[in-house]
Amino acid sequence: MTGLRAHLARYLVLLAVVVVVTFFLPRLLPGSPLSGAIAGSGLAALPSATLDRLREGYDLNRPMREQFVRYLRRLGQGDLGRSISTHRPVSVLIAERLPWTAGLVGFAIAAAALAGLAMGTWSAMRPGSRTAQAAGMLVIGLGALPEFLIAMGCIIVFGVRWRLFPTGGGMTPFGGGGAARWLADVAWHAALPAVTLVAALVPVFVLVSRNALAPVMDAPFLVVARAKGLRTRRILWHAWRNAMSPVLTLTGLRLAALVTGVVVVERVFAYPGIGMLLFEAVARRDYPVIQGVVLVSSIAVLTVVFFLEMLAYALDPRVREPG
Amino acid sequence: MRTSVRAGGRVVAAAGVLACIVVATLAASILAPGDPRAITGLPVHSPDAAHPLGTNEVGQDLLAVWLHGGRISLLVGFLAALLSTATSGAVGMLSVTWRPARVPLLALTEVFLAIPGLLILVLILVITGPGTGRLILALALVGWPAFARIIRAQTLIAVRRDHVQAARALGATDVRIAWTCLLPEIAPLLFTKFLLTVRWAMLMEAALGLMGLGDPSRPSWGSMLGGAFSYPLLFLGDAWRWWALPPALAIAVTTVALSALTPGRATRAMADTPAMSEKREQRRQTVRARLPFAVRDEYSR
Repeated sequence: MTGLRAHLARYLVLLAVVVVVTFFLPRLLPGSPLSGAIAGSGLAALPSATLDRLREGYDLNRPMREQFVRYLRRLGQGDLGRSISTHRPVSVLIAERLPWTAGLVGFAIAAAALAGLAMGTWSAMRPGSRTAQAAGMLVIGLGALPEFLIAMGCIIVFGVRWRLFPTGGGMTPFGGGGAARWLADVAWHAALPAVTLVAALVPVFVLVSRNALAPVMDAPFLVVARAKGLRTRRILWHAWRNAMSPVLTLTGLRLAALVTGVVVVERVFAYPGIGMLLFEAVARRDYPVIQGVVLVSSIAVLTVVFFLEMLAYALDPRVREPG
Repeated sequence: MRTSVRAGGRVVAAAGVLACIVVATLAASILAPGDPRAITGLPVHSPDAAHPLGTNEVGQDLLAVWLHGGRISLLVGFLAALLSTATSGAVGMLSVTWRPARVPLLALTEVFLAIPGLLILVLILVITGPGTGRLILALALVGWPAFARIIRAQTLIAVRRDHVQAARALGATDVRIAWTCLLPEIAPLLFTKFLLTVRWAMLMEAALGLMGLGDPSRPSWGSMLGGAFSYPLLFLGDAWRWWALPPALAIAVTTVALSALTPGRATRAMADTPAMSEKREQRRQTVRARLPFAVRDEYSR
């Protein structure tokens, strides 16, 4: 169990570090959290007394150590400050957008993992086959494309040419109707962003599950399983256990990189998630919102990675006792 | 399996494509003379003889913006990759050869890996204000950690080699050993890291451009893309054909060519790196060994 405890300790330390870094990094850089907002919105024209009061409101006049203590105390109460442009609490703004992103990303990862596992299995069962190799090359090619290009392709083909899906937004404004209508509308709007994310994620999962499965396909235990006359389904069940932990670990590793993809996709489709919130906040140089989004997303990524690692730990004895 | 002849063809093709792109952007002043920032036409105008790619929302010639912007995008990718490769090489080697630096450097690496890169970049650029020089420095700051780890693993192996032991026995200084014995061992890795980081930096530049954090005084492919997507009627007419598609394709072609150029042997060497002292690293390495190339470059920046 020492491994488990070390895992937890590491997670907690990183969590603390993220909190410290998101506080100190902006304050150590040239410029101040408010300077961007002031320059961007014409606040500079305000009398200096007002500006001073503004700084006071964000604690920027206090010594660094005192600022940090107050920041921690507020954080403990779930208070991330208020938006400069809308004056609404940052925690509320984030809570409004989080379900959109969580739904989109959760669906995309699940769909990509399932599709990737299926395609990877298909290809691992055909070693040396020309078709499987060609499909592999195609998948690698797809994986090398940037998300915004896939997103543009989706918009142009499905949104503009065939007019099947909306090219932006999260739901029809003033759509009305019951819960079922609303859900269908939301899914309809999420279709293209989801397809883009899945298309960007699938290649990785295909390759990883294939590479995890290919070496065990003729391992002794599977030869025995086949010799016993087990059905393909049962044989695959044995083989898949080997692919589980790399796929889980990979999902964790991809998550930090996926943040970029999600932000880009939400921006391109104007999808009302955390990424779009970040974009809007950047456009207004709304510093408290930016800091809140960075903090919450980093913590979310860390936490999901931690749970995925725990899952891999529970599922795979090779992870528990490496070497 | 990929044969060496086909790999050679792939590298030549990728290098050719990259060379064409570099030449086209270098020849920007000839192909599209004048300042790309100059307002030369009506805003959002369709392509005509004077403006082969039309104009953007303020009436700048998009062909000029595209070609001159390519220079900036390539320059950002190249310099950021150069700086971060040097940093990850230095950190990776120092964490092995200089004992007191081991723990702080490893901790720093871990911390930088914990926060998603794009978020650190957004935070930095919002505070300092967008600018090409700052972007390069910020990308270099975010881009080194993942590879520092791989360099460290490779250095750990190299240090145990006989010729290093021999050099030490002969009284060579640490600096000399690092320079003459260790650097040649990790040089292929550094080259791979460099190519992958150029790719990563250009994609990040595009993402930041889309976020509206492109340098307002120097157009780039990223900021051109960002400008296009800020135009609400982009997909209602065919403005996307000459405004959004050129920078998107240029970035895609360049980054795909860069990954095709990355030597397969070096990436395989990366995958074969044996276990390191820490158990966690050991597991990472086994996982890494199972990951194919396309995955590894994604998270190893």
